[in-house]
Amino acid sequence: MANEYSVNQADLTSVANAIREKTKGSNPLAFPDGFAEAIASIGGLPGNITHLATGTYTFAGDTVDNTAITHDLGVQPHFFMFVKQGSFSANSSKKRMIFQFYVSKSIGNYAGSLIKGYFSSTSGTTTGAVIETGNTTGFKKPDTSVFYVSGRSSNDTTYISGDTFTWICGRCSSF
Amino acid sequence: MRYYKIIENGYLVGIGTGVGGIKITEEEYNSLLEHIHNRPDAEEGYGYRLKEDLTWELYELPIVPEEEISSDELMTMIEEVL
Repeated sequence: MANEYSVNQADLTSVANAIREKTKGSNPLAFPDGFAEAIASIGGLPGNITHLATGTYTFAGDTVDNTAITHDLGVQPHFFMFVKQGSFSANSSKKRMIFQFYVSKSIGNYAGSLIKGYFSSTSGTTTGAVIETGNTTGFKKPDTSVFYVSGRSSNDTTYISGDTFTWICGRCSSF
Repeated sequence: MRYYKIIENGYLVGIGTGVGGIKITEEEYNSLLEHIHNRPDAEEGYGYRLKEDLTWELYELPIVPEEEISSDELMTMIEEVL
C-alpha cells in the first residue's frame, strides 16, 4: 500500500506560487499533474555558463592588428561582449574598433564562422555592426587562452588610441 | 585587480586589466593611461604609435575601405543570430 501524506492548503499554495513565479503564469495549478507540467515547462538558457572571464583593454596606438588578449578559460569561448567605457576619446571625429569572435557551433547562418564587426563613432554617434562572416581574411580565431582584437585607423582621420573597452567572454555547457 | 601592458615589436600596443600581458602596478597603469590620453594630435592621414620608451612615433595611416552596412542588413543579421 502506498504511503499517504496530508498537506495543508497554505503550504500547497506556496509551492504553486513559487512555480508560477518561475513560469510567469497566473492560472491555478491542479495537483499533481498541473504542478508537474508547469515545472517541466520551466526553461532557461541553452546551458549553464561553465566558463567566464572578463577584463578591460585600452588601445595605445592608432592601428593595431590581432593583438592577443588573454582570457585563460582553458577552452574556446562561445560568446563575447565588448562594452565601450564612456564616450570615445575626443581626439577625433571618427574612430573604429574591429572585434571578432568565433562561433564554434551553429547559430543561424554563422556555423563555425569567424564574425567580424565594429564599433565606430562618427561625429559623436556611436554605432556597431557585423560586417563580415566566414573565414575573414587576416583575422585569427580565439583559442583556449586568447582572443584577438584589432584597432583600425585609416587615412580618413580614424583613431582608436585611448579608448577603453570592457570585454566578457565565456562558454556554455550545452551550447 | 591585476594590471598589464602589451608590448609588440618595440611598441606599447595596449594596457588592460585581467590576465595576460606583462604585469604592472596600478600606478604604472594609471600613468600609462594618462600618457595615452595625452596622445598628440596628428594631421589628417597620419597617426601615432607609442614606442616602448613612451615616445610617440608619427606614421602614415593605412587606407581602410569603408565597410558600412545598412540598418536593414544589420537587423537581418541580428534576427538570424537570435
